[in-house]
Amino acid sequence: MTMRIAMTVNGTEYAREVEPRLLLIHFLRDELGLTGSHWGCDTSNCGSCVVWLDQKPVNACTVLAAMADGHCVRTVEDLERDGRLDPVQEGFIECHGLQCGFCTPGMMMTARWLLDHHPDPSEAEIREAISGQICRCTGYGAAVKEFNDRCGCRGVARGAVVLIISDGWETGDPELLGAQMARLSRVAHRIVWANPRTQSPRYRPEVGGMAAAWPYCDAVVSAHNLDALGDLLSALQAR
Amino acid sequence: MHYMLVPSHVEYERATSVEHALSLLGRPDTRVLAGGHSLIPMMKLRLAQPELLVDINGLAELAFIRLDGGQLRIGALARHADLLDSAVAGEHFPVFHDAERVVADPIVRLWGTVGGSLCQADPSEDLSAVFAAARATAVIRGQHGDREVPVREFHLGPYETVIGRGELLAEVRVPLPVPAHGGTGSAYQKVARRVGDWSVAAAGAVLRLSGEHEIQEAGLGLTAVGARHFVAAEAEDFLRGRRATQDTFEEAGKIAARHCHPVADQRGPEDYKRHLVAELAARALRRAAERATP
Repeated sequence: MTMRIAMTVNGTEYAREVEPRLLLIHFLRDELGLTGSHWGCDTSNCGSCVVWLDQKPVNACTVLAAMADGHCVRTVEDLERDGRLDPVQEGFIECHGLQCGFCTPGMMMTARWLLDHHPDPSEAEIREAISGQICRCTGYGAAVKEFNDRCGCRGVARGAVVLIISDGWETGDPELLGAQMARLSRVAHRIVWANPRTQSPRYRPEVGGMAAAWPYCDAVVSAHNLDALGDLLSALQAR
Repeated sequence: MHYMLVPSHVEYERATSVEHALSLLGRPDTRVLAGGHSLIPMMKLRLAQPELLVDINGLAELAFIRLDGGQLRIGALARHADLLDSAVAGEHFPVFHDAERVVADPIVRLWGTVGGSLCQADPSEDLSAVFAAARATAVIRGQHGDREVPVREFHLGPYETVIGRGELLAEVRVPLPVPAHGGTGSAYQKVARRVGDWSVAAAGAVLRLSGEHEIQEAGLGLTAVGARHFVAAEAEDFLRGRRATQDTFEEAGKIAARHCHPVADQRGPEDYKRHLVAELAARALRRAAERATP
């Protein structure tokens, strides 16, 4: 006995005749050929098969395809958009967040969901969020680092560029400013600092709070004249 | 040889209303499908082979958590994550938040339901002991109306409840503490082998104390250790009327450990589980007493 189901997967409408007992993971992999989601433990323990069902992550090995009838599914194939990797994917690459890669699709779908709901998670929150993902290569450390580091979380609000206009923070508390900038850098895609005083030969950015903040800037421009405004424009437009 | 685990042949119907669900559930060999995180793995292992699944995930009228008439009302379709996020539940019964933090993992908690937990009647499931400790009532809907069953009478044994053919668990009601009757506090303590695992043992406590720190009412639930109806009744009897002290709690823990029936399995031998019951019950009671504000 079969039934007709239809669902939107990664923005595309699919309709198929299936047995009611067919699991969503097999529907995605075998019926639709979307093999990015991995079929792992088959008992909803490992998290390799995590996809989104109506915007919420779910273990696709523990959902019937019939339950997704009329709903929207998002798989790891949808993380890349217009030829551009999701920052989560870039982060996994840059921080070596995987070894064999089997758990990675589920890990990344959970990561994307966490960051969409919680752009600046603490390490404890990250570890809690991925506690349903099992990595046999013990790549957790790198995966957590990927979440936590500049390269992983920044760009959560994709394209959010922070422009700081200030003539410097030399007198500021370096510890406080460093912490604030670290926080900002994890949620912003880019940080650009416009500081006219950088043109002055006597300006010393390595002093006080400025020294703490400087390393977190993706670009520092003087923006003190029309030519320099061109530099500002390039800095803002850079990826 | 690699085996692919798939459920046996089954029919699937999506309930469009509670009435529709009830009529479908009148058929023999029918199971309610909500989160599916216990049922579907059991179907893969052929431990469950229903003829028909009735999917109730669309029944939004069963997905609620609210205060109403001196009760905390939790719809059967409320997800674990909803209960964990519920400020009203946490305010009146922190034991729910304690327990929900250690139910499975965050992804499973997004789908698994409160009603499913109770109806699965797994001896290791956390919420049964919590609801038993809080003296909650299950509201069971049938085609001829609702009937109310205390959670302490809801489970007939492992994987067995009082819900009959053509019936559906609609909600669970927890009586709210009445401040005039003293301060109430609650807590849940669990030991598991690793994050997300079932309990080796766990204890949930709900205490009502007088201004003089006398225990007016005690609820003590036990998970995974073969306590009848998930309750440590002898320990509750001991606690009632005594002063809320560490000695009292330790003695109550020992009584609970003596009267439960844990079995040795891959999670540990019997004596270890009894040791855990004594310790976790005492800790849960102490934490509940600390939280009891008049």
